Amino acid sequence: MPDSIDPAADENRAAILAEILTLRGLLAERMAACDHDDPDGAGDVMLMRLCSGLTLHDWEALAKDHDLHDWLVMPMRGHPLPYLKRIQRSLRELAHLSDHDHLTGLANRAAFERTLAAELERSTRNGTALSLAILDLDDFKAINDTYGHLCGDEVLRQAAAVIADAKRTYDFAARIGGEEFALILPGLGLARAEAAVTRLVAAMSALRVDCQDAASGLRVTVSAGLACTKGKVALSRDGLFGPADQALYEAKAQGKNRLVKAPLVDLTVPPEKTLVGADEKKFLFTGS
Amino acid sequence: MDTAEINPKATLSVSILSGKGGVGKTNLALNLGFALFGTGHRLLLMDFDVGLANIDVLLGLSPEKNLQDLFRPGATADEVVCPIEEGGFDFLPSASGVPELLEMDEDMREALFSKLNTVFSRYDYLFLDHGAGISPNVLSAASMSRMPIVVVTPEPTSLTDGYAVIKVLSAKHRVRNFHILVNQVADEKEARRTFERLSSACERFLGLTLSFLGGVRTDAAVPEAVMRQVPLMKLSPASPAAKDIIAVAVKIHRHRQKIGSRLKHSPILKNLLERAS
Repeated sequence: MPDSIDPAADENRAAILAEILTLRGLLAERMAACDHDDPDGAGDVMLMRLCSGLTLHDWEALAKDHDLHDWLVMPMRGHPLPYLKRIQRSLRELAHLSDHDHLTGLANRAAFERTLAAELERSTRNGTALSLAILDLDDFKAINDTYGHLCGDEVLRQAAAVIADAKRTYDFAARIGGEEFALILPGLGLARAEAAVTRLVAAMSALRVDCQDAASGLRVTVSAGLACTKGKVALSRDGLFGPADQALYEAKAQGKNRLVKAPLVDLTVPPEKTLVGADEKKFLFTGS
Repeated sequence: MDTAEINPKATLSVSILSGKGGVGKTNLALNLGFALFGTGHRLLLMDFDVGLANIDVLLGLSPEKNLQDLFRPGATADEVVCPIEEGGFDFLPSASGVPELLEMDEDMREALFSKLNTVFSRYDYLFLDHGAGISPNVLSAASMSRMPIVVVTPEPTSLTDGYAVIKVLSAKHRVRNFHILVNQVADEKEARRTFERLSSACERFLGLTLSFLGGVRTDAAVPEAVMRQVPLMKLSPASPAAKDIIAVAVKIHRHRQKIGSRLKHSPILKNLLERAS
């Protein structure tokens, strides 16, 4: 980034940046504090500020360095067409970003929650199986601490690529946390999902990531928790996510780099209304 | 309610069911059919034990076509119906060893029955002989008929499985009018006792009142008829079991007379799209 030679312009830029960053903090706090039940967007506003002396070039540098991709910029002089095109491109990127994780290109948490809800509904309606794997990279903090965040990011990118490569076309892969991923496997029962995720865990341990400081390729492993419903009972989101998360915890406890599967969710719910109970059998046999 | 007579001949659809296999269900279906035909009724016996059909075996027949052929475009039900006796006792063979048929969903059933409905309406009775067990396919097919008959024997295993069939059908398909036929009994008393046991369990746990169709005695003439592949009613019409079967047939006939006017205004088989809840 070519530095400005005008100290006044520098100062101006720093002031604007400070203001935006403060505003970002305030907005984040506010978003966290209120609930987001506003499907009509009645509460949506656009914030505008005239930034005298700031050039488009300056702004782009600022946006890149401070991750201000969701701010739109419009120059007040010259023909507006090139900038309108730029805004359109930004909006397209924003739409992509609202569903995708910036770093890995996988779907993000919000998209994951939406897809999981839809697939759970489909599974219950159609009585079809649905499996959910939650994957967490092992000892990721140590990688970050030892080799730095740039290396950590590269590990996340390549791990995501392994997951994206392992999934079937209609599986859904998402990054749902720092080093946490999820894989939704529609139509797969526990046994077949187990085989698929076991292959994924093995593929991950075969991965070698080249970071600048690591002498040879860095080895990455993943732990996975797997839960499955056969679609016989209506399940809440937590009814499937909870057991998968619990299984992941168990996989970590057992020594990482492995898959642990939760018991079939449908079998752990109370027996349905058609089960012939012991009292009924006794009555049939003895008449009392 | 529609006042048009959509079932002018008052064809009564009867499901013959059992939880447990080997209780003589198919043999009873065949011979009850024979008894009703003998008193001047036209009857179609449909082997709905898809996957493991065997009415043809009991009859010593080897039909060239079966239910499976009806899925072929252009195939008509008349090609598949095969006569057991001249004059209106016919048989609709199923396919043996076709597990795909067990997976029959509502679309396949619809395709099948849209072709069969006109054939059904020529008969006084439509007997559906279902497979044993409580697979979803058996139960949703059984729930379509107007008169479900559950065959049990005095054995505790048969009684428990029969009870399970009743429980699932009532809970999942809202079937409530069960008729009980007790096979392989020593005498009328044992049949009564077995029925009472099942009936009071259903009353107590399911709030259901069952109808008693009667008992059929254990009789050496029955295995003899099976071995010779001739219906019992034909081979030994005077045997104790044959007499019992005739008594049951009379009860079925009376039941049809009783509900005849209602039958005329309802489809022969209940809503095909009705599914497990």
